[in-house]
Amino acid sequence: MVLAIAILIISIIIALLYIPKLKKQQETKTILVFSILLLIGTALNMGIALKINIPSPLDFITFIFTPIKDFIVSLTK
Amino acid sequence: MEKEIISSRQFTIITFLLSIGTAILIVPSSIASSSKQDAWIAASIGVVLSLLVVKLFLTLGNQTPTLNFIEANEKILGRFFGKITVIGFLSLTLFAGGELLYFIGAFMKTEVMPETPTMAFALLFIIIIMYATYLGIENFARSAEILFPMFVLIFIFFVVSITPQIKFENIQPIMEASKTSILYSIIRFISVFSFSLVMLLMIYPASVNVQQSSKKGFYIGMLLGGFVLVTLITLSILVLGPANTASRTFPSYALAQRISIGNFLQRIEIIMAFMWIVSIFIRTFMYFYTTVVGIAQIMKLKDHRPLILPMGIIMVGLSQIVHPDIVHSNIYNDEIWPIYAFVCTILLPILLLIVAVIRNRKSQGNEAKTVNGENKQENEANAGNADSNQQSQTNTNNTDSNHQNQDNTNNSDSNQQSQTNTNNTDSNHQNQDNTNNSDSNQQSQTNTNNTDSNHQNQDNTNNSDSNQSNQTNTGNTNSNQEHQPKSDNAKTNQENQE
Repeated sequence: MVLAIAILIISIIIALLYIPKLKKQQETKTILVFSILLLIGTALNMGIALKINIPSPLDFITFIFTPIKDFIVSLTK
Repeated sequence: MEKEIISSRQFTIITFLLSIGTAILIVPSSIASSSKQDAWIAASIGVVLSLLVVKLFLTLGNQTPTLNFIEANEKILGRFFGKITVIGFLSLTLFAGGELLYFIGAFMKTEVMPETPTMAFALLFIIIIMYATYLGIENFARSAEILFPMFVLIFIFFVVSITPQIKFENIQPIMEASKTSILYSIIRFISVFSFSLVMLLMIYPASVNVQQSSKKGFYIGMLLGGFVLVTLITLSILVLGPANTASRTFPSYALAQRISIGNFLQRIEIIMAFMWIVSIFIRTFMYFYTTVVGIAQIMKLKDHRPLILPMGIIMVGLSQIVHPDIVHSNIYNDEIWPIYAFVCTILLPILLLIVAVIRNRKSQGNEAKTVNGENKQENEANAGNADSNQQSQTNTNNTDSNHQNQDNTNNSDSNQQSQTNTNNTDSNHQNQDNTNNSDSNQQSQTNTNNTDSNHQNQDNTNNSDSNQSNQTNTGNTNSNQEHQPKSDNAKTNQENQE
């Protein structure tokens, strides 16, 4: 719990460091991409800190490519 | 984004260390488990086949000389399909980067510091990588240049000090493994070894100063990296034996633990671990850099630097969730990763290459027509001026496209060597016929522009003379006077291009 809050505070600090600077340069698109990525990263790390079971993204990749793998294996047998 | 240029030597070093990458840690056990004592044969064949992979990357790189891989995707496939393929490619680099952080954490945790959580290693590693990405590819290339001699020294020391323990019984009988198992080993080896070299397309044509020698450097770096890997695989089979190599997670570390010179120089494996920490650093940096720059480019951002911190946070998080355990990682790396990497790093460039060639052929036809038309117009203008016979001679030379084109490439080559101007190099490589046509066009334009002053006019005629002499293959008879105007003309060409 403490760790999750620490991650949240770090993310807020990063956001406060970058967003005003970007706002001054009027790069709205950069701010948008930056905030989305930061949000994803913070959520991910808070999930890990709270020991929530997050499925591996590679499981999805495995799910996509398993038929191809089976096909190749069946060819070489 | 300002343009960053690295030298071809730095490029070679990056290729070398990138191709070694994680392969040095995980490949020996992975391929020894399928082809036993013949793993070294599979690895050697894999290195040879990687030449083809490098050839593919180089051909693609030369198709789009001013762009990196991400921009080339969008240029060649169009905005919409380009974005889809780029997202597919970036998913590979993002997950692979997270995986590498997982590897370094798992390696340190299992072999060196068992009590420390893997998050700590991933965090320390990503801080270095974020800093390197913030400083840019030039600084990274310089640091690779510093790390390279240390790597080589440690590798030579490693090989020399492990040699006394070689038992040749371990490698016999040779050629016993079945063809399918060898095939699987080759696929696994190539997928870890040379597929990741596609990331060099992020820097290869656009930010390398001399293209010709860095082309050579691409091959040399890859072959040297392959040599290091084959040596390591052979050594681990010779010293540890095939069964032991296959059952270890990190055989090269186990190999380093065996080093014992006169029962005195022992336990130096952590110095050896410097090798794979360096190579993993290089590879993780390339994955991270590709991801960050790629995201910035598909979103059309001016600067990629603000994205570094959030991406670093995401990657640290990924390193914790990509593999719940080492079994998951082994299965993924042996079975899924080769296919996934093949689709994103081999099929995608092949697709790009085919589309680019077709599009080039189309645009070439169009451009040739327009060039001819312009030449005609200028001929008429010259006839109106009725300036001199010599001028019309130059124009006829221009309409003789092929020979003149050769002269032009010669000129721009000399420019390359003297100034190493990348813009110039790029235009030279880009569809050799097209730009050359436009070059000849530019030349004729300079001719018409220069008709005012007599002096320069003479230069032009001299140039046409030299061109003619080149055509008749008596280029050696060029006097000094003829050389000077030639260089002048080259300069004007350059100015026109800029």
